[in-house]
Amino acid sequence: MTYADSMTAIAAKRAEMAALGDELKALQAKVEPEAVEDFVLAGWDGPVRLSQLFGDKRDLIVIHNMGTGCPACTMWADGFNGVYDHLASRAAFVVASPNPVATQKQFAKSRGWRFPMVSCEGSQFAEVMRYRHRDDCEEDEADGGWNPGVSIFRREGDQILRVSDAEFGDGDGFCVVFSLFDMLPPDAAWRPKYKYD
Amino acid sequence: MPYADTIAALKTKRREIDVLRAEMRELQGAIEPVPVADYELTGWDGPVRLSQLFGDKRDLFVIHNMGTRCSYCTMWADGFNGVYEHLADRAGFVVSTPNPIATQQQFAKSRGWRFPMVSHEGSSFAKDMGYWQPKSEGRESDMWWPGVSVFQKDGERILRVSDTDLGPHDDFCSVWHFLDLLPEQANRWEPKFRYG
Repeated sequence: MTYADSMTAIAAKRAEMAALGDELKALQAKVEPEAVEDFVLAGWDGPVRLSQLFGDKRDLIVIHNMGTGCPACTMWADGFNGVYDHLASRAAFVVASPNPVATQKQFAKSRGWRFPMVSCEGSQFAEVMRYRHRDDCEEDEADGGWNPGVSIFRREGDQILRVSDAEFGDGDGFCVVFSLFDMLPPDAAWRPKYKYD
Repeated sequence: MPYADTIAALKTKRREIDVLRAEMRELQGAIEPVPVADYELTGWDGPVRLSQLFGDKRDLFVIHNMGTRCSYCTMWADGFNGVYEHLADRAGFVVSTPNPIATQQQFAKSRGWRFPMVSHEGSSFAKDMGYWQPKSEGRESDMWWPGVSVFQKDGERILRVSDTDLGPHDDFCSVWHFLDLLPEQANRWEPKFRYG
């Protein structure tokens, strides 16, 4: 197919994807939020409640990051770091991982991350949010049964509501790397790393 | 709709998007690339040719950025900056704007950008690539257009293998995808250079 014809066909696919994106928004608009408890998590300055993570915002985006053992989660977080100020202008934005706070601080520093982080170590938070599946995973498995994704919370008086959540994966709208790589000749072997030579 | 049902429906819808994405990759794989000239652009150390922007990579991304006056383009670039090392592992990655080099350098520094930049001021590059729109009905003046072009080195030749324009809710900026999950969604939110 000629370049121009391919571009027209690809633009049509992108338009179809955008139309599905509009359907996503319409579905999201009809959600009945679920009430969640005010979990205690480990913040960098001591225990912190989910309700405190909102700061002065009404909405809160919590990233379920699998921690320092996951190069893909790390790449997604690198991307969030780039647009952190934009996100934080609209909603509070916090990255939660299962690492102890000391490990988290060291890793965040090594990557230049600017967003606030909390540890969900020892809390039921990730499990209740369905971003940890102990049942289908051995306790000593490398990934610990954690799943990557995002939960969106809304403060409604004294209540905390979850209004949405989504799992992360290659080609999602939450990491631009695979979207750009989809424009290259395929290389299925490429995987994110912590550092490149 | 109950929360769990909504999330399940969203998941199904996202899988449909994944199917379309796979179809798009197939279309991309079957493309006949077009040869392009070895444009001379302005790099931070002097004139630079498109062919030199590849570094040691076979593929090259060039972002068509509208420059320092566009807060949207700036937000997209902030996102690319976050994942720059990941991108640069696979291909050359360069951001091109119409600003003069001095302006570009100052702006990049103010935002902490780490990716290489070139200026296409005085070159027909952006226009030839389709990222310049002439004055027309509903458009008061000529304007640059945001997008991305992908090039491949083929011996002495440079081929363009893909391009697409950039805009809100595309897959090249994660911010809108997060906003879409908020109760009021994007709701007239617009990116700014700085927030109070």
